[in-house]
Amino acid sequence: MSTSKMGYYFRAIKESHEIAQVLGVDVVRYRLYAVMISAFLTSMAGTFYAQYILYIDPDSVMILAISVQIVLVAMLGGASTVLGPIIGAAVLVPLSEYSRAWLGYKGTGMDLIIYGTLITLISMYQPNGVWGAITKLRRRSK
Amino acid sequence: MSESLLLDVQGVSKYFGGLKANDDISFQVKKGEIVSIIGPNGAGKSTLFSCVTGFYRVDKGRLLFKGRDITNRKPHTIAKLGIVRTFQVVQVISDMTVLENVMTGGFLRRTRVDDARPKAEDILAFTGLIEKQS
Repeated sequence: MSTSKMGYYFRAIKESHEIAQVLGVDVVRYRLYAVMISAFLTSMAGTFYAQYILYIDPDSVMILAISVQIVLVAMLGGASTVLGPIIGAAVLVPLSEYSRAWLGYKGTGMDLIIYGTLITLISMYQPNGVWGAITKLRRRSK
Repeated sequence: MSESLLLDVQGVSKYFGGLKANDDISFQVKKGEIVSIIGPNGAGKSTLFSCVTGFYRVDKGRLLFKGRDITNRKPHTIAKLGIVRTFQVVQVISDMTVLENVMTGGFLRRTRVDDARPKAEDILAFTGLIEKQS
């Protein structure tokens, strides 16, 4: 998708609303497309999850933490890249699980503090995410 | 209306609250003409450009392009018809290559990437930017 017309338009909108308009992008229309596509994919994942767990209730799937985590995965890995979210998930989920297994039982919330600190550090120093950092390094080495 | 008339600005006015940024402006641009708009800072030149390209809604008057009414149409519609603007500070899509920037604009006329890329390369060659394309 990143190499289709729609992909270029999404990247234009991401850079700036105004630039996209100048280039002739119907910003509202393409934003709606983006929402539709992401809703489609999210619903696929949700359906799979429901079939897999065989039990869902609002408290387990509609809480804020899950919505935040979905966004975090993309941000940490590298938004608007293909591999970014995969890397993000591979980093983030073990990170939260290990920090909980390591420190969570003490009941001090240390695991969440470490988790939060790491997220802050990555978003401060690597706003393009892990994959963004990798592509930057590769481009420099060329 | 003659065939060669491209842009016809008829009494366009744009107000920001009580400030008349553009007051009853009329001019015409014919095919092959290059028209400049000059004036001191704050005279409303940029406002006029924003009105013509649909970034601002005009409060009064009409805008015709090739005989078609483009008054208060959306910027992307006007761009599709053939009027685009630049900004005072150059704006580019910073995470795209030069070629990709040009291609993104080219999608207005060529929907497929395979068609847009060679055309964008032609334009870069024409403007002498081909060496900077990636």
